[in-house]
Amino acid sequence: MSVDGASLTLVLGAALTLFGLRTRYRAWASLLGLAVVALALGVSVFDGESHAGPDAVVDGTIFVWMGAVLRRALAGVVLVVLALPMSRAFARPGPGERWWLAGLLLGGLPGIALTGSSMLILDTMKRLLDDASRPSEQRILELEQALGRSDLLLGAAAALAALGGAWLAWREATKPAPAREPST
Amino acid sequence: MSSPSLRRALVLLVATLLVVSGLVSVVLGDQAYLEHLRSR
Repeated sequence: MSVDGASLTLVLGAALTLFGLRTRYRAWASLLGLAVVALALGVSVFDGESHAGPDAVVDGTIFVWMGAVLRRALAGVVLVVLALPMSRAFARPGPGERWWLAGLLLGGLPGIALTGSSMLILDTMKRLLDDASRPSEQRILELEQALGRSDLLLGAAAALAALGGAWLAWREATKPAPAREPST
Repeated sequence: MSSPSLRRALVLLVATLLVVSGLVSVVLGDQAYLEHLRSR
């Protein structure tokens, strides 16, 4: 498996984002990082459609899909790494403020779900490749079950991110302006 | 409603959309792969 363009873009985007998060443009940098992750993940749709041949479970094209799954795992790691600095960009750390919540909902949990589900799929694929004696139908069924479990995990993370992110945005938008010091 | 608060809310909203669209595209990719397997 070689490092493909999407994975390279992902790593470069993550490095650029980490640099940007240290500047005053950290809100833009956090969005850039998430956009790069979303782009890298979006490529997996095309991987599933165009590269996986009809005999993907039994012939060599399974490696292409494994590459896509590895890229997902990498995207999950990037999200976890970006979670904490991104959180500081989304909300100002302060006493009594749960400023880390945005990073947890939009970076930490989706990242763990992505990497965890990818490891689950890769483990199943490795088992299928190691044991070639099983009939093809059974192998497809096992892979289907692994992908189903992975999708359940990702669906839960997506729902949590959607609800949590929307709630945080609403809370931020309706936050009263800080009281100004009376001018003398 | 203060302007920095509104800006942070917009950033949070866009970030949420990006994360959710990324996760949904992964699920769609899985479904596309499964379709190929089922159509054998």
